[in-house]
Order: sequence, then structure tokens, then C-alpha cells
Amino acid sequence: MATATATHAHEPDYLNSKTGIGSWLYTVDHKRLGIMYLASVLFFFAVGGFFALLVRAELATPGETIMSPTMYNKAFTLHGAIMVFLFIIPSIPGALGNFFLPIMLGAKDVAFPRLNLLSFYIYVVGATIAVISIVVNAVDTGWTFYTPYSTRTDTAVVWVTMAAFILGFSSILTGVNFIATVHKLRAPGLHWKRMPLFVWGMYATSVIQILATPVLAITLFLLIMENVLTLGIFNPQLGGDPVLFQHFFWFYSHPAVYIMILPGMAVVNEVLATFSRRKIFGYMFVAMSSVGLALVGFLVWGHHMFVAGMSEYATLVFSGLTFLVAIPSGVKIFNWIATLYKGSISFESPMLYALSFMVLFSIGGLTGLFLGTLATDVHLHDTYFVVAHFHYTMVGGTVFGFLAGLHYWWPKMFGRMYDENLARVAFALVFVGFNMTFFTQFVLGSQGMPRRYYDYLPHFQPLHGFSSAGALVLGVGFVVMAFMFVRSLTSGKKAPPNPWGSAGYEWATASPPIEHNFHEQPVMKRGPYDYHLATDEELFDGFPEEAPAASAEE
Amino acid sequence: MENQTEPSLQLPAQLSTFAPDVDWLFQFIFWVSVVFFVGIVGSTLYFLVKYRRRPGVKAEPTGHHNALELFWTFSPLVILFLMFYWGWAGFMQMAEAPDDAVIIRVRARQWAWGFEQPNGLTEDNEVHVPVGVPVRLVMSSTDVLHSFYVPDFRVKRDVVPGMFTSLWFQAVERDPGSVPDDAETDPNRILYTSQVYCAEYCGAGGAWGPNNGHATMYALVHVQREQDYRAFLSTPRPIGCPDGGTECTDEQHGEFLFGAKGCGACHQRQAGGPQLAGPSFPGLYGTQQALADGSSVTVDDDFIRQSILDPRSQVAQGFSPVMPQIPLTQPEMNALIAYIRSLGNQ
Repeated sequence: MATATATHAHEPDYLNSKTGIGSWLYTVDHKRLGIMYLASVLFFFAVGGFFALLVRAELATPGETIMSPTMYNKAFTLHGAIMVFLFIIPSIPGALGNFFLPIMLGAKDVAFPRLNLLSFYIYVVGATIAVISIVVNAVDTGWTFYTPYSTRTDTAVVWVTMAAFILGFSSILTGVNFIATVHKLRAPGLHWKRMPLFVWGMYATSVIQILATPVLAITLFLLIMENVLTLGIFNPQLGGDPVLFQHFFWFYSHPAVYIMILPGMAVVNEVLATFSRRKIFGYMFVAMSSVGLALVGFLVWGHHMFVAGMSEYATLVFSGLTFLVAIPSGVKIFNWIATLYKGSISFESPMLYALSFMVLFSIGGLTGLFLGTLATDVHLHDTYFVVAHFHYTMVGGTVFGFLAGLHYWWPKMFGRMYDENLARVAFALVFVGFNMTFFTQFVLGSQGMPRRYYDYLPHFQPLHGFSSAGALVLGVGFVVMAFMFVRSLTSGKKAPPNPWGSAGYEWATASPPIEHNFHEQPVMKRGPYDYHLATDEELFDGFPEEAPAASAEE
Repeated sequence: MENQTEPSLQLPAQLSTFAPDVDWLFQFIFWVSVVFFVGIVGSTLYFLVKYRRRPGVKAEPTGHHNALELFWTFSPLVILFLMFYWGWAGFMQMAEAPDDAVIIRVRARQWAWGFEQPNGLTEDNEVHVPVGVPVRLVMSSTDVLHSFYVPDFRVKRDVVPGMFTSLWFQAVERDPGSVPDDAETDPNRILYTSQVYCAEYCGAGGAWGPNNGHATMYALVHVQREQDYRAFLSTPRPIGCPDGGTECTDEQHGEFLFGAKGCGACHQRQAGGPQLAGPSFPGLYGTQQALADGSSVTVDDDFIRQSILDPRSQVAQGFSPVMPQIPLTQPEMNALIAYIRSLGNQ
């Protein structure tokens, strides 16, 4: 495999190869697009987090705390919509996937670089329209836009659904691009059974994006038609059916849950392998479990509607299918544990996030059993139990996976190390704050506290107060993390090509990579996790020029 | 199974016949989850300590073990099937109401619950039900989605505009024997009261207060002995007054109804308060009101009566025709008109 050898040492990296604002705005380099996605999703993560803190501040005490009920309804809607459509869905595929999928395949770029640029600008247009909707009259429907409320409210529903409609195309185009890249641009020797599990995860995600997102587009289009032309599709006063909207919406939005979680799992595979110096146990089972989740994920949307007025037989089928989701999820957890067995495990911050993912996602998955079971779901549906459940999967899962990947690949993306001690402080705050905030909500929910409530009865006060305190800790953790990353950019130590001593393909390039990723076409002679086949030189975690004499001979 | 009539740390009091079964299943899943979770975290921690990176010790190459893979892929299916089956069985019990159930009509609207007893008696945001007798609620909504949720009974069902949905429950006694079997019939005796929530998001009014948004769309279920409930149905109800009394003027009765029927969700009654979805009442009575069709009327008793009976017939200019029809008795109608008239003089 090609490494950054001394002869090429002065070739500029992708960050410096071209300069000027135009070189970024018109770039078709997948790495620069990855960085632009990263900046955008982190911005919207901060905005969505701000709204989350507003929501928790309002709920710290009963009654009117800091805002009116109307403002509160807008705040939780914006939190949900921004986090789902502008942060989580594009986060790992857009930022980390764009940057690393081609490198991991030994390719120069994605299959359709200009389509990639288009996809980014579609995202920007969608995001801009979403921001305009906040200025016009922020929506108060919840991120689910349930009819007929969403056709009766005078808030900017049309604007925000238009934004989600447009964002969907960005998602579809990225999916098409990744699938084509995986099929056509794998380096010689990189057959399917050697493909990094991150790529497998991105591949499964792309399949769902292509198949499910058009349904969201159709649904939102119908909603816009109903709002603008008063067509009776969902509104019963016009002869429509509000439950039909829920079917349409969840037919996309449940698979979208897997669009969100599969990339998180994909990152965890890479990090676990690297920090335990061992191939992921049951490689093909783990790869196929991603594909399995992608397929089963299409058949379970009805479990969002067990008490919505659906027929009993439909609930029977959806409940049964829902339990099947537990199988591939369990397969992943068990294989990850088996990966640790007889490994050589170290505990840098990416690994801390990946291990937390295993714990938090287990809680998220196991609490899903209560919701898939019909009789218990009736009690727990639309309570804080559900809120806690999906935050454990979406934050404890996807966001922790994203953070694991961000810490893991940061030195590769920017060529600079970060302060590991500060990173661990931030991790501790985020982990503790997250659990304080959301574990409490399981108890709130099983005690009967409904969700999307501006106010609550006095006996819920202690738990709500504790949850809000946790949100503050979580917020402080993210501020520390932001400080840590900014300081890394300004004054971080220069990163060696392979700071973690990983056998993964992406670590064979320079940090940061050169514009075309590799000096010559790499040929994969071993799998990305074959530590026993990797040479000392490949696993060397310093700079090539400092390499010890024994392994420096070529 | 015995009912646990006090709330636990995890779950509310068990006050319906469903509750013990649901909670048993909840505890089954809970303990299965605890076992899995302890197993996952325990083995992870053990490996993390045992195989931490040490100088000179390399990771062993990963082998494969298909039997193990197949074992942990398929063996959880057994437990999952049990959860699925018991969940389904419990759900079917909740789906099929007995034929002899007392049927109560529920009308949900933003943001109030109207109940109609089998004999036509109506209640606002509270409903009396008999203990030990199946009760079936037949529910409809006049505007958006709502969801009828009583944690103590473990029942929940969305209320959907354009269709009827239904749920049933049978309340159990909280302190058996607290009222002797031979105690005299008393229409006002209530064994206990359980909280009703709206569980499907339905928006909020501009103002903040009881029954003025999703979060305060509360109602109460008053559970009575059956003979007390029957007596309650046949006893003429005293009129409601703002101070909880039963003697008051028409205006005061109207003020009480204004709150109980949820009128305040759309109509401002505070002079100088923010404009809500419908016309504000202070200073309105006696003025000329422009209508959506361009004509104009004087706001008098007749106009108010017509607007309540058929809200879409004379919509004020600048407002959407969204007011629901709310059934009122003749004395209630008179009281509300008197109250709105009194607001006009402010």
C-alpha cells in the first residue's frame, strides 16, 4: 500500500492545494465537501441544541418558566426538525462518509464528484428555506407534521415542509453517489469481503435513502398541495384521512431511523477494531446485519401507530415484524463484545465514545422491547418513555457514534491532534449529562407523563428538575468539546499519518491527505482489520521520517 | 392478580382490571432487559480490564465461530416471541369491550373533553364512572387529533376527527371495604379520582391556563359505587359557580361555563389581553360587527345565541370558521349570553 514516503513529503495536502474562497465553493473534492458538510451539520447541531436547552429550561419548573406555550411548541418542533433533517441524517454520511468512503475504497473521489457538489448545495438551499421558515412564522406542529393540525395552524408549515422536501433530494443524490462509488471504484484487491464495515454501513444507509426518501417527498408534496390548494387528502373536513398521513409519514420516517443509526454503528466498527487491534468478530454477520436492518426497517412503520386507530390485525403484523429488528441489533452488540475478547485494548477518547455507544444503544434497544410489545405500548405510547427511548438510540447511538468518528478521524481530516485530557473531560460531562437527562425520562414516562407538554402536574417536578439539570451538564460538555476542537485547529500538535496505529486503509495516506488521496493506485493485499498481516511500518503511529531503522527499509 | 393500588417508583397505581396484567408483562420485559444489560456491560467491562493493552502482548487474530453466531442470532427469538404473544393477547383484551358495558360518548376538541352519559347527561372535563362495571368510551374529535389517556387504567386511544375510536376499561376499588356494602346511596360519594391526559399533541392557545393547550387538556375520572353512579345520573345537577358553590347569578354561572366549556381557548375575556383565534369579548356587546360575507349585525342576545347554535352561519370578518358546535342546555345558553353581555359593559 502506498504511504506518504519521503519523496512525496512536500506535495501539498487537500487543504492547501488550492486557495481562495472559490476553491472551496466550487470544489468537487469529496474531502472538502466533507469538511463543508461537517461545518454545516455542526452549526445546526448547535442551533438544535440551543432549542433543546430552551425546552429543558422551560420544563425545569411547572407553570410558565421562561416562555409562552406557543413559543414552547415552536421550540420543541424546531429542536426535532433541525436535529433530524439538518443534523443527524446528513451528519455521518455527509461529513464523515464523504471524506472517508472514497479513501477507504482506495479511490481518488466519489463516482460522481459534481453530483456530490450539487447534493451539498441542495442541502444548503433546503437549510436556508428551513431558516426562512423560522423567520416567517416558526412551525409548532412537532417534527412529525401530523394532520389535521398541520393544515389548520397558521405557522409556516409550507415553508418547512418545502425545506424537508428539498433536503430529501440531497439525501437521495448522496445515496446514489455512494452506491455507485462502492460498486465501481473499489481498489484492486478490495473485494466485498474485505470492504471496511464503515463502507458496508454507508452502503446499507444509501439503499434506504434511495428507496424511502421519495415517499417522504410525495407525502410532503401532498401536504403542501392540501395546504395550498385545499385538496382533501388528509383533512377529514375535506374528505381526507388523517391516519393516512401517519402511514405515509412513518413509511419514510421509520426507515429514516435506520438512515440515522446505521452510520453510527458503522463508525463504531472502525473504532472498536482499531482500539482493540483486532478484526471485528463475525465480519460477514455484522455486514449482513446492516443490510438486514435496512430491509426489516421498511416493514415496521406501523409500530408508531398502535393506538392511532389502526385495525387490530395490522397491529398484530407490525408488532411481530418489529421484534425482528431486535435480531440484527443484537447480532451487532454480541459481535462487538466478542471483538474485545483477546484484543489489545486502549482507551483514547474515540474508544470511550464507541464503548458508550454499546452501553447506551443497548439501553435504547432493550427499552424498544417495551414499545414493540402491544399491551405495554398502550400505556407507554406518547409518553416520556418514548422520548427517552429514541434519545438513547439517536443520541446515545448516532450522536455518540458521530463523536467517536469525529475524534477518531479528526487528526486525519485536519492534520492536527487535540488535547486528549480535555477530550476526556468533555466525554465525561457529555456521558453523565446525557444519562442524567434521559434516564430520568424513562421513569417519568412509565409513571404516565405525556410528551410535548408545556406544563406538568406537581408530582413530576423532582424528575423534570433533575432532567433539566442533566441537560445543563450535557450542554457544558459540548462547550468544552467545541473549545477543545477549536484549540486543536489553532494550536494542535501536528498529527502523524497513523496516530492510533490502525490497520485501516484510510490511515495509509498522509494527515491530512493529499488532493488525490494516494500518490499511486493502492492495491489492497489484506483486509482493513488484519492486524496479524499488517507490517510494523503500516501500524507505526509516528511520522515516516522518524520511523525506527528496523522498519524503515523499503 | 392482586391490584397494587398505590403508585410504585416505575408505574402508576393499578386501578383497572387490565393494569396487573400489563404491569406483569412490563416487569417481565424489565427483568429480561436487566439480565441482558448486566450480561452485556459485565462481559464488556471484564474484557476491557483483562485485555487492556500491555507492553509485549499482541491481540490474537480474530477467528470465526459460526455455531456461536447462529446461536446468538436465533436464540433470542424465543424470548421475543413470548413478549410478542403476551403483548398481543393483552392488546386483544383491551380491543374487545364486553357487550354489557356502559357506553359513554366522548367529544374532544381543542382543548377540552366533553362527556355524555347513557341518559344524555353531559359533563365537561370530568366524567363519573361506576366501579366494577365495564365502561366503553366512544370517542370523536371536532378538530385535530387528541388521545385519551388514563395512566391508572393503562388505557390510551387516539381520538381522530372524521371517525369513531373506542376504548374500554373496568375500574377497580382502591380501598375495598372503605364504603360498607350497606352504606346509604349517595350521588356525591366518590371512591377516588383518576387523571385523564391528552397524549397526542394538539397545539396551544395564545393565553396560558386550564384547558388552554395540549398540556392542560386535563380531565378527571370520578369512580363511584354502581348504585351511587346510578343515583348521580338521575339526580338533577346543581349549577356550577366560579367559587365551587351552587347558588349564583346567571352571569356567574356563565363565567363558570366559559371556563368549563373551554371558550377561553379562542375568546379573550380580559380587556387588553392578546387577540386569540376568535373575537375578543370585552366591549363587544352592543357594537356593530362586520361579517365575512360583507354584511354587518348588532351583537345582541340573538346574534350570540345563533353563533353558539350554528357557529358557521355568521362568521365575523377576519376570523376563520373554526368554532365547534358545543351542545348546551337552555339555562346554560342563557347564562353564557348573560356573561358575554356583562363583559360588553367593561
